[in-house]
Amino acid sequence: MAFIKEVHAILITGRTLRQGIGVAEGKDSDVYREETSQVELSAGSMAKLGLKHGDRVEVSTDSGVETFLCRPGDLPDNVVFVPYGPPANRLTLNTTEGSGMPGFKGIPCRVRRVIDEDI
Amino acid sequence: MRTFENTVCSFCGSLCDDIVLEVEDNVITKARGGCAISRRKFLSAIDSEAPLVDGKEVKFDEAINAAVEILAKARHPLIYGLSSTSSEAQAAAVKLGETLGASVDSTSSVCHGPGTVAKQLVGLPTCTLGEVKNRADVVVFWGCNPVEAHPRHFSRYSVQAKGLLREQGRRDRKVIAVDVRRTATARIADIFLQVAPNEDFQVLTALRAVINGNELREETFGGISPEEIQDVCDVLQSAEYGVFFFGMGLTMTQGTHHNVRQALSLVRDLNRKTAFGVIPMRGHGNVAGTETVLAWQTGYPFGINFSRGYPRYSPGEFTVTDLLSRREVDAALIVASDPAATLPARSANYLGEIPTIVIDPYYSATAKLARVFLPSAPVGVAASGTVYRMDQVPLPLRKVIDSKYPSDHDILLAIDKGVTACSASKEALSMIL
Amino acid sequence: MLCIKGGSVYDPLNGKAGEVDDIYVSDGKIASPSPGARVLDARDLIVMPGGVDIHSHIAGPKVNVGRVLCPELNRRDPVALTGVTRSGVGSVVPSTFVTGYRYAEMGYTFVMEAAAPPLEARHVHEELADIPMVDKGALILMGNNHFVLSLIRDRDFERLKDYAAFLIKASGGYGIKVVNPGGGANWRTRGNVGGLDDETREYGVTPREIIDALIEVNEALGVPHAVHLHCNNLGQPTGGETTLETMAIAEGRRLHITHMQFSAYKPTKGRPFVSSAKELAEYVNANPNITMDVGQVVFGPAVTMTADAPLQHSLHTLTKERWVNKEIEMETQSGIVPLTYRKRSYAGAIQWIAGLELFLMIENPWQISLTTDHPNGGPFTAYPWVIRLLMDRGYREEVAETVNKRALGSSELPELTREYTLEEIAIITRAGPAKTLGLANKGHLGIGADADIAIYRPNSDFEAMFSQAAYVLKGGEIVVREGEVVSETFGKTYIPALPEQKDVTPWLSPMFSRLYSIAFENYGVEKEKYMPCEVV
Repeated sequence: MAFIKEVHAILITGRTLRQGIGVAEGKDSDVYREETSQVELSAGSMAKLGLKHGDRVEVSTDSGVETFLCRPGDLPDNVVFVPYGPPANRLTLNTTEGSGMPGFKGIPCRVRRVIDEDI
Repeated sequence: MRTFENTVCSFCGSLCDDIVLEVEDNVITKARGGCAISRRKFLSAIDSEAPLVDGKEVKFDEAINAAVEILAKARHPLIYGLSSTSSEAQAAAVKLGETLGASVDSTSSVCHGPGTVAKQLVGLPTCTLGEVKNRADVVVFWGCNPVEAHPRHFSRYSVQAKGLLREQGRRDRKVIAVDVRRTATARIADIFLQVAPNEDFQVLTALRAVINGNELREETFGGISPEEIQDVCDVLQSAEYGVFFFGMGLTMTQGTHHNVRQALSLVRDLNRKTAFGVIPMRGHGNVAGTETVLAWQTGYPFGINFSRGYPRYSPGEFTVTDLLSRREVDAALIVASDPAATLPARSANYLGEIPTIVIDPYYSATAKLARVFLPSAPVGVAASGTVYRMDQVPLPLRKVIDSKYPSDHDILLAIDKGVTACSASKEALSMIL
Repeated sequence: MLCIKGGSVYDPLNGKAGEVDDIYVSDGKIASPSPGARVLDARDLIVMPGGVDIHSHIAGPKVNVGRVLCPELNRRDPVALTGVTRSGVGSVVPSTFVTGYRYAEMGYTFVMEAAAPPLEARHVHEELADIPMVDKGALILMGNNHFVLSLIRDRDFERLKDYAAFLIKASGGYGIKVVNPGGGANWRTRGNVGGLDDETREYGVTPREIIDALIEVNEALGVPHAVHLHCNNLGQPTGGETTLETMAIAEGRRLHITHMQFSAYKPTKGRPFVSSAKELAEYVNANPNITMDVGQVVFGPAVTMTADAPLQHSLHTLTKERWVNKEIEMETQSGIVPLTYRKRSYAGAIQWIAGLELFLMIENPWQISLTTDHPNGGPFTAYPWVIRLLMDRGYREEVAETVNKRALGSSELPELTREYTLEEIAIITRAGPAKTLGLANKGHLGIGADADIAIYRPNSDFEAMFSQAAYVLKGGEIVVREGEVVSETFGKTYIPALPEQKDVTPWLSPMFSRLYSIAFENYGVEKEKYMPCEVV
């Protein structure tokens, strides 16, 4: 079966309940580490890339590249979501265009499946 | 065992003040009434790591001295954070910033700062959360997801809450959610507008156009059809009392303060027809307090610099991301926040290259990069003070257990005293020479 | 012990109008003469009690929003730290520290914050605590409070009395403030009241009933200050008529009409409105139970901020300026709109004229206090300018020549030749407001009074003279020299001694939990937040 290697999408970072619990519990906690290393993709994107829940994917932006475990999210096909946290921070943009606000949401990104050989 | 009722949880900007804590042997054993995050916050409130300098455990005073030395030597230090501490500590941070000629910025610049800039352009029709509970029959959640970020917001204030004119709670309200994602909040809404990423401005502009009697000529506005725009306008205008909550979905996406300006203008326009308020859905417990305290002491809400001896205000210049990205500061004091876990890595990493001091109840990600770590008594648990809710209602934080460490406030004052003494002795020395 | 020696003393309450006298100070109070005192040479200087501001918006949620709203104003007036004082901004809505310094530099030592909402009283006190140099207090907003209106509707005056006392106490307040009674309640559904007999939509009570009941409660409780009232229809051409009717409600009981200038207009043919200062002054002259402050307009930028939210919305509609509106659950609302008063505009000139007419037509200076309703009519730092306008007829006429001609032509100002004396200035800026506020130890230099003293260097330019005091003593210590703060000090918060009332908790607490968004137990401000405090 042939899968598309890479999709272009828009990255949104944000709060989730488990991420909040992780912050309250401590950033060394398992819940925080687990939650912040997940990426949510639409069912369509997952199918396109041949991914199932828990597979490793690589997300890259102008800022950097980061590997996440994927999970399905109720998202449009062109949107991917990552909970706030250190992995997300390697993808967000540090330019503020004079506003003081860095690029935390709406960042162009590429998503591709991590093939075993890459590891 | 001691029981404390009506305790304020200061994790998020909702500041629920009905938490019941049970304390035994200086440990919080039970935290009832709050959400899952709140429970975790109170039950995890134990004394953290010892004071550290260069990774080595030191006595508290030694850590203070190390901090004083770094800051006194710095030419352009940054004081940043402040959103998870008391207003008293925030005031102490301003004083220290003034003594140092530092830049002082809060997490506001990376959350609702753009909303404040927008307020400076158009104003802000708003109300307190009790007014939402008592009167709101139309509630809009735009780019915010209280179900996950402010878990009890719906039940206490905005959706299921029962009040004076809304005795039926949820049944008395129409809920509109606008987001890029179909969030948990969007799923309970009566109307959900799924806006295309970075196109909130278009949708808000279309809504304003209709409210102001103009015709829509495009086929779609940020992914929303003219019919949907019209339907939402009908609901907004039919409100007896509407409230518009907005979150990072507006302030962080492309357009930042322009998005919020359009949202505030929409609500202002609606007030020609009916009563409508807008409330920024503030994240951190006392981030609203940072703007409040900084404003009454300096005239400005965030992004402040004291290098000329008086406060200057310039978002985009004296805001944390810019100062770190441009490598303009040569030391940093981080108070009650964790930029290493929240800012873009390209900015945050710079904190590891300069001497950084962290004051925090917990050994944070930033503490790992820091030269000096000063553990503090967690505010609202082992230190008292005032916090400001997202609607600016002030609430008292209580001390329910003792910490072996001082409060953020006391640590900041001690550093200020040290720096003042240091510069006085430097002056004396230069006079002798 | 300190002796302020040889100054011309203006202490109207004690009958001194410029005679040379020595004032002795000990332990922060005015003391009887005693030998061996340190001497402060006041020869050729003018000695007065410290200034008392009866109405100024200096602290709290809406003041602070005014600061945030206008960075363009703040940037005009940066204030750097010195070895003695903190930094901040001055301009129209100064930061807290600068507020204290600027008052002190003019010789003011007491300021009453004009409008505090109980739910946010904690915020008011946090800011007041950061205002150095002056003693202070806060008036508590009650005129559109849900429980006040409900109790008036139910004719339950006993409970209303208990509740008013509770609100003052829980808020750490000083007295009762009423703003556009009933109008605010109707603003929740974007309405207003048009006159004293208009009903409020959700309560059925009228402004007349609210004013009457709150005066009754205020007098029964013996609050040191009268009900402090911002009248209905303020800023409207109908304001003058409404204010005349409003004063009649008092029927001999004490009533303080605040910033009367903003209520001193009447309709006329061919113009938007003209001054009705004459009618109002005549009423005040005939009714000694009425006191008022002026709310003089100052040309230049201002930031209007008031609990009169419907007024602010109409101002925004008129000017299209930034508009802040806030509804505070169960209690009150507010509106903020930046505004510039222009000499050449008809309206701006009429407002300036109406204020001066009130000053010059009200005969008994003990009934009138100098205010600009800071920062509504302009900043309090303009008081010395207003003093010059009052004391120097030539200067007043010079300025009058530059204002809108139609406005000036419609007024009696050119015919008013009165010039205030220094004694009268001492009354309207200190002795009078202190008396009106019921501050027995302020506003005079009798033995036992607080040693809050302003010493000025005589100057024919009265603006210069009152801008920078030669010396200011606060609690007996010299805190200002030659218009500069030389020592930072923090004053006390003033609260009234009210008779013990029935506990409101049993009936209020259950309703409170249903209607408010915070716990009843977290509502009141604990005394530690406003220590040190003085009970009067």
